[in-house]
Amino acid sequence: MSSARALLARADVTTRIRNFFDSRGALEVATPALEPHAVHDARIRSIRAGDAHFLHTSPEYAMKRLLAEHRRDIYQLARVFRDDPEGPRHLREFTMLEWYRVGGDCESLMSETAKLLHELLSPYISLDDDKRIAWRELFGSPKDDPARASDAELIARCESGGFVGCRTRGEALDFLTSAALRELPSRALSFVCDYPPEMAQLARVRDGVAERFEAYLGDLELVNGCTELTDPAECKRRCEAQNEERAREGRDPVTPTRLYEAMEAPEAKGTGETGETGEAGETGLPECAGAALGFDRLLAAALGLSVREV
Amino acid sequence: MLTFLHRLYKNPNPMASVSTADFKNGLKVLLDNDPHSIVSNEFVKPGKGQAFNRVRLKNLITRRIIDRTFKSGEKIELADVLDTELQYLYNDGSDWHFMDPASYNQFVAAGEAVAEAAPWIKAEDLCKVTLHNGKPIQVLAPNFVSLTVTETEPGVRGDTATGGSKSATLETGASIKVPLFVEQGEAVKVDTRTGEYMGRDK
Repeated sequence: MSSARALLARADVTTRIRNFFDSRGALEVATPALEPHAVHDARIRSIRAGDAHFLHTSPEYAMKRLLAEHRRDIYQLARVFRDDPEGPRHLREFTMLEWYRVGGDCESLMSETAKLLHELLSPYISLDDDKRIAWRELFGSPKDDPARASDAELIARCESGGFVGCRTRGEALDFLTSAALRELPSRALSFVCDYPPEMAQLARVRDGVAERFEAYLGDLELVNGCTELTDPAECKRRCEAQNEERAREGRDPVTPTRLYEAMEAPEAKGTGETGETGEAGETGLPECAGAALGFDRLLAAALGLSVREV
Repeated sequence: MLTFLHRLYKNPNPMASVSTADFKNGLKVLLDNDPHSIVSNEFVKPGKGQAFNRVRLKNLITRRIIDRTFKSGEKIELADVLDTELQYLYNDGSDWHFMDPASYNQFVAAGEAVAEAAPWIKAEDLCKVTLHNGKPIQVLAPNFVSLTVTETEPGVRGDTATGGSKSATLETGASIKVPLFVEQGEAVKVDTRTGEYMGRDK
């Protein structure tokens, strides 16, 4: 149940998000919540809607299609759905702010995110100075960098941290990261960036570093953003790797055709018809950066409540 | 005999397992071959990537509290643990013997399992017993017991219910604080969870 204070804060933050993006040249869009397939990421569970559809877990695919077609900055406040156990930080249905900057990259997006978060949070809570931390710095000295550790070392480190039964490097890195995040300062925004390629998701990898960041308040993740991967072949490889992950767990593969369509959007689409379409000959996803913000979590953090209460 | 009891008290679904999604406090699971009870369970998914359940568990045999992390969706085996009421029969010098008052089946518990209950129980007391694979791993005394004072300083005449206290040794060997007026040979009521004197019995 939402209190009156939570209700007012929700409306206030929504308005300020719209003002922020409207004044910075991003166009608000709305995309369907129903997708013909589940999410490509094996670590996220989609909720089925009828025989032919799944509820989207983020508006990413549809927004990337719009990006490919119209090549301009867009944002959306969307209700999204994930089949996760609920808790003080997780809901099966929640509000996500997702936005894309054409021509942007991880760096520019990170500074925009910092501006946005301060603008949204400052009326509610006071924050210490922002921290920027490269992922490997979460683990102290360079010799403790898990990305350089051998498999045996990683397994040993997981076990001493209470995680037994680790099977892949990815799992080990996720576990060690989640444990290290608990040490982040509780009253400041921390921007964790420069992830190892194993944790790239759909971010561009350059010089062995995934151009991705996550913004935390304490150990609460608020934003996840990156320089978007634009290479369709590499995108396909990463999605197929997710299917290998699913196969290991005896789950059915997912072919994210909506994502592939965005990555390989045909050049014919919309060219020359209106002023806002891309230059003729350009295809697929433009160079861009995109981020997603957990709206309910931000509100909960601002008010000192749980996500259920906002 | 033991094998028979084993079979009798076996979980009807011996290989049953439970997913992290069904973790709840008090659930008994098997970990490193020991039964554990879940004390707390937190779903964590910071950022993208693998989701985990951070779980605090109590080892029902060693009583140690441990923290473990499981991948969300992972399955672990349920412990074959049963809470039942058994009657305490006798101590043979090392082990403690109990009986199921309904079936007359007998159970033998090692000293460690009875450690908490030992100062308070006497023959024929009904105890709450946790069985793991048919073996007692924890025995709890009844919440209140009535025990005879076998040794204490003589009572102070004229003293009433309030005032000082003194030590008294009970028939089980346990030592508790009692009010000054309690006499040797009297029965007293004791709360076994706190070890406190509750009053004279009868």
